[in-house]
Amino acid sequence: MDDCLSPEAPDADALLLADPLTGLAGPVPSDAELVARCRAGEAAAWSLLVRRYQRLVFTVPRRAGLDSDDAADVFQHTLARLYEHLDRLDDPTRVRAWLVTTARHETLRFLRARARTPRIAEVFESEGEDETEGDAVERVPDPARPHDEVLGELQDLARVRAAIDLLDPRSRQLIELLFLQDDPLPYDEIARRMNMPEGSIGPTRARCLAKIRQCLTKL
Amino acid sequence: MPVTLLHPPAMNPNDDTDDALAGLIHRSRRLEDAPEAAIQHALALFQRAPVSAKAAAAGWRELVARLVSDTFDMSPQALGLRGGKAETRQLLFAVEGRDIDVRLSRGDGGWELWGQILGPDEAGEAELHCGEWQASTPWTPLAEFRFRDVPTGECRLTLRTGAWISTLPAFRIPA
Repeated sequence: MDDCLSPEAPDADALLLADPLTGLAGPVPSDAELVARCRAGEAAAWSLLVRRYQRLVFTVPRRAGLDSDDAADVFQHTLARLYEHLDRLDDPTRVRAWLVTTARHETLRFLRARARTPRIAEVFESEGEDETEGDAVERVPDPARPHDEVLGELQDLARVRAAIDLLDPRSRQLIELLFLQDDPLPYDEIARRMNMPEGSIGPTRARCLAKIRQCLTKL
Repeated sequence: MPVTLLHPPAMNPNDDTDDALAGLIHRSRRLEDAPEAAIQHALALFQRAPVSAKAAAAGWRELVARLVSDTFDMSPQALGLRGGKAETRQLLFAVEGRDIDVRLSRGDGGWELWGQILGPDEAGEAELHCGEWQASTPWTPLAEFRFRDVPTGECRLTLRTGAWISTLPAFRIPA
């Protein structure tokens, strides 16, 4: 059995089984498959694609210092451009990189249009204190460059979160309690919240990480 | 200009040690969820395709609307309201220099939707879709419109003048 599945999965072929909103999981469609299904007019495939990459697309402008409202504008324009270009994507397997590139371009366009000095998030912070918009724009890295660590890392992180979204709800809850808290929780607290013996956390943690690793091979 | 990194480069997500993967998951907290309204707007792009085609055929310019505020997201305490008989909800959208004020209220006869376009446009039409139900009405001279007996569920409001068309992000009317 494919470990990247939820026990709720009633239909191995159902596309929506991986929708994090439903909490159901199933075979994981690749990006290329989702793009193909979008091209065929399947709204559910578009929904999965948007949900899979919403954090990544939103985080790019946030990392460039845009506030939440402005980042939401960039997010909407980026997704609108993806929708417009669905039929023209040369390589649908690289939709994640395409989204990062487009989100960055939309961010730069927004910064230039607003002609104001953005607040620079930590990733783009430089040693200099006197910021100009030009400096800020220059320091938003170009994802087309081979050594772009910042946006490359964001893509890796988004891939991991997409894999976590595919887990069954209980596994996802354990992963969130173990790794996604600002302040680490002690095992006895996690055991209490999960209603499981403290001694089971370690082995369950290992199984959940194995599931995530398996999901990652498909994303 | 080189990028200054405050964090080390990404660990490989395919690294087969649990500690490496755990570290990567922990770092993924840096990703932020997009606002649900923005996600809904993106999802609606697929459903809006027929409208876009219609707009292109008619020579209308399609304007992108953005949800600015929704009192449904605020607690009564945050709004400074006391509980009352009538339920009301106000949504404010922005559409290229125009503000769209939409108010939903539940009375004895069901839900009513009232809206007003605050901008330079003098005449136009509003069209409301809620599932299979749909209705349209012209704006008043004050650019107001009203729909009565609106059913519950996900609704979508489209506004058009002779020059532009805009479909607002979907919103849900609770049962």
